[in-house]
Amino acid sequence: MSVFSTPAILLRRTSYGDYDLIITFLTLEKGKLTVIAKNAKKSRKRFSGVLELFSLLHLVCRASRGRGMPVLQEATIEDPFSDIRGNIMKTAYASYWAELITFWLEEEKTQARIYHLLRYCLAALDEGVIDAGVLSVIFQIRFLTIAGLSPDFSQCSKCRVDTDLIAGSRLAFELAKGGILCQRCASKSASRLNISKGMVKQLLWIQNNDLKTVRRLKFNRPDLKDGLVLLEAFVMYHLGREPKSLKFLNSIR
Amino acid sequence: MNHYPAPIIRVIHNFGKLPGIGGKTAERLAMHLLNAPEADCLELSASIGALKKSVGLCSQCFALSDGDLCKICASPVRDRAILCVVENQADMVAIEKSGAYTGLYHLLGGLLSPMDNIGPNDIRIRDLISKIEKNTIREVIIATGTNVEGESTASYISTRLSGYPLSITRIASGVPMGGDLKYVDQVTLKKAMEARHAL
Ligand SMILES: [Zn+2]
Ligand SMILES: [Zn+2]
Repeated sequence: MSVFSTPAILLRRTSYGDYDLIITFLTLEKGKLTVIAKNAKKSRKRFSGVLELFSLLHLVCRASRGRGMPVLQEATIEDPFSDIRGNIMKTAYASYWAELITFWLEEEKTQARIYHLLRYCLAALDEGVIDAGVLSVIFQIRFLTIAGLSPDFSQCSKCRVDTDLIAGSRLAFELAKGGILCQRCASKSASRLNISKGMVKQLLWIQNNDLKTVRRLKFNRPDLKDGLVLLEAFVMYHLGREPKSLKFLNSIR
Repeated sequence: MNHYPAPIIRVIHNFGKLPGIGGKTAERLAMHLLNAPEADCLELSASIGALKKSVGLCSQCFALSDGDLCKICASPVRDRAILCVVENQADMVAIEKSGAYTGLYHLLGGLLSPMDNIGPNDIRIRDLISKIEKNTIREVIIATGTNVEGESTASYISTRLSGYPLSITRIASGVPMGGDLKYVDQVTLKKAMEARHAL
């Protein structure tokens, strides 16, 4: 039996019986980690007010013998990101990101880049300077890229012409290819989404630059909406279903 | 258990389905009833039978009730201009026990939860709005819990009600009575500090 500690972000919690909670975290040291918090629903002292969604915590866990779940020993708040829960739109976006991570990541496989991405996006969402929709564009592009499913915005996926050299201001996006199409190639293809060339170039910028520089980007409303529609459709295409929190998001936005 | 006659096994099996009751306890309860006066047993089975038949929801606040209106909604002494919004029956009972509230309630029947896709149409928000439109309500107190679901539901409701001529308040959160400050989480302490009052 060994004790380990790690920074962690709380992704999901569910009741287990009358007393316990089963909690999924994204941890810095061990990637996605599901633990059991015994007596968390009853004990006032140990975990009261600490085990909340999206909180940045420091965990101490005890690995269990055999194949059982690790047991949560201690949790302290580093940052509760408490302004997220004070706004249903922010809560919905944070839930969507948490759901993608919960679904996509393997248990106990270190994913430090995704941890830093989520931490950055939650902190910015909490701070409220960057629009929640813009953060969701940033999160999804970077997440897909790290997950190895990065859409290709750099060239027409059929004729290979560079995005900069494609004529016209609107481009198409093909989900199955995971890439953009110039207007000439798009006319021969079915099922596609439309997006402005300017937005495609911004998506490309987000893909290739440091998160800290990304916050200077400005989007106009229609472009941002197209970008969200495209990325969410792409996520659903790979997931094979619509995430629950995305359904919720669409019911309130 | 096979050593018992079939009617006893049936009772043991049914008790065993109740929360917190294991095989041993179920057996003990069944044996207890077997030795109890027949009238007691009949009263127990009749009360269980009546439970499902006669308990429904109050047509105004959606609390459990054995009539069209619950006792609180039917009471002439409750203040009809104040509405307290709670998640469920248990929360309403908790506030009633405190004795600090004399208005009416509105039970949402759940909280918004994006990850479970429980949206505004899945809880009683439309009923709340139509209640506000039809009645003269001066204040709506949002008394949902202080977890993420409770807080985000409160924020959603306050946004939805912002256009109506009434005051919207949120129950305060702070240090529990008899509480030791070092065990109180930092979000609660921050809110307690912000909501401090003069002595
Ligand atoms: Zn082309
Ligand atoms: Zn009632």
